[in-house]
Amino acid sequence: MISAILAHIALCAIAVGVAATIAIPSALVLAERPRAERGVSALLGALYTVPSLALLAVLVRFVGLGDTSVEIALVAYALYAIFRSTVVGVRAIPVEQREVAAALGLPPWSRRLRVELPSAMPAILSGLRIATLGSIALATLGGYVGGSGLGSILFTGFALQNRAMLLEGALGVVALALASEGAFRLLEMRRGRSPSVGVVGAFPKR
Amino acid sequence: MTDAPYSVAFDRASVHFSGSDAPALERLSLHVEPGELLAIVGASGSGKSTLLRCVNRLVELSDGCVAIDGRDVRTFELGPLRQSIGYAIQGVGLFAHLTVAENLALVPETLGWTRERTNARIDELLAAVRLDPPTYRSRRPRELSGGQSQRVGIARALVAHPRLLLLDEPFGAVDPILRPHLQSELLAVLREARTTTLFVTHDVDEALLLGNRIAVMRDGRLQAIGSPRALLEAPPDAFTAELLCGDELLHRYRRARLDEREGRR
Repeated sequence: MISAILAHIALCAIAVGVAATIAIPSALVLAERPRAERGVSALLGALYTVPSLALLAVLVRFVGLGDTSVEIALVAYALYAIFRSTVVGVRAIPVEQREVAAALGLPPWSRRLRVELPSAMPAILSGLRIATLGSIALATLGGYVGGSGLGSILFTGFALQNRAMLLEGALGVVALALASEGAFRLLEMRRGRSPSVGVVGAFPKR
Repeated sequence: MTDAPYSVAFDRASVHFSGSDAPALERLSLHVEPGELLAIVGASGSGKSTLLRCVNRLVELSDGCVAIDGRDVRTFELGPLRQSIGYAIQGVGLFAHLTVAENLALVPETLGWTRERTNARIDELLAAVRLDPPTYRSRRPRELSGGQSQRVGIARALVAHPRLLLLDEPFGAVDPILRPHLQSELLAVLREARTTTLFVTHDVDEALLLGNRIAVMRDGRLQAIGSPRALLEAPPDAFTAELLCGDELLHRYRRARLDEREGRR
């Protein structure tokens, strides 16, 4: 049970980590390019609507049974929430603040990392929260294609009609989901206490 | 301070914003000498801010040319151009997620200054705007009063020894009681910094107090330009007279203040 929980956590953490590494930087760049951003959003959105079992079935054909297929599917689903939330977060930055950053002559990457990323962080966090929760739920399907994690307990329990095993797996997933929500709650509360981001005293021009 | 202050020349500069019939700036020509402090006054929407923002290319010209030291601003690389120009706007625009010191360090970091040099410069400037460095370095913008944030904003604009300073109503959000204090402080700091300054304000008294020359803007055009003395004594047109001199009493008061200012120098 413990090893299944740990495997489940690892599956989700890697998936969200990989997805964030891809989605956040590309969203920071594409937020300034509305056309390209719309294209990528549409693509990721389309991917997101593919039923998970169908996607897993396709992946298993090409990648084979096991955790790799599960991991790819998890990343594919996590990308959308993280990408969109980052774009929305960057777009919500007040014009004055973007202008000041531009007027200081900061190079593009410095502007994105020092100004835009921290300012968009509340939105990004909510995207990560949704992606993590989604991954925890979705990773159980991995049990269907021979992946590790709590899904393996669930599907074995299902196959054996073993109620105790089913309950064990289900409760594990619920516990993980609650733990993740709690962790993000704490993180957001801590940020809430620390001075928030934005420009202080940016008044709209008369 | 090795770099000499910039001169700025507008040559028939025009700006048309899409979706607006009237040009924001119309064939404006104007020369600012190195080291000069030009105050720009005019009503809201007269193009004051646009004028300023053409220089660091936050706004691109539709026609004409803006040149720095005789060189078209469009031929400069954008980053280095902006790094050599200090900019502070109404309400300052300090980044709330960074401390005072981190706000000031943004441009020096970009320029690749050493940590020691950056820190020394930050302390020097905080002291110049009368904020005790050990106390204020690690403050967040939220923990500053309006006047203190303005000072930090001006310090940030000055941090990298700019050769040109663009100030867009930097005291616009400061309460009137504090203003005179900040104004005289700014004068002292600018004298030290030896830079060219374009200063936008809607406060005529502020312009008269700070400017070597005053440019009066109206509907995107340069209505009048001259020294405070010249414009006050002999306003070239009715609009300028109305704006600068006001009624008889105000006119007398302003001339008296100007006498006082020039007597002090």
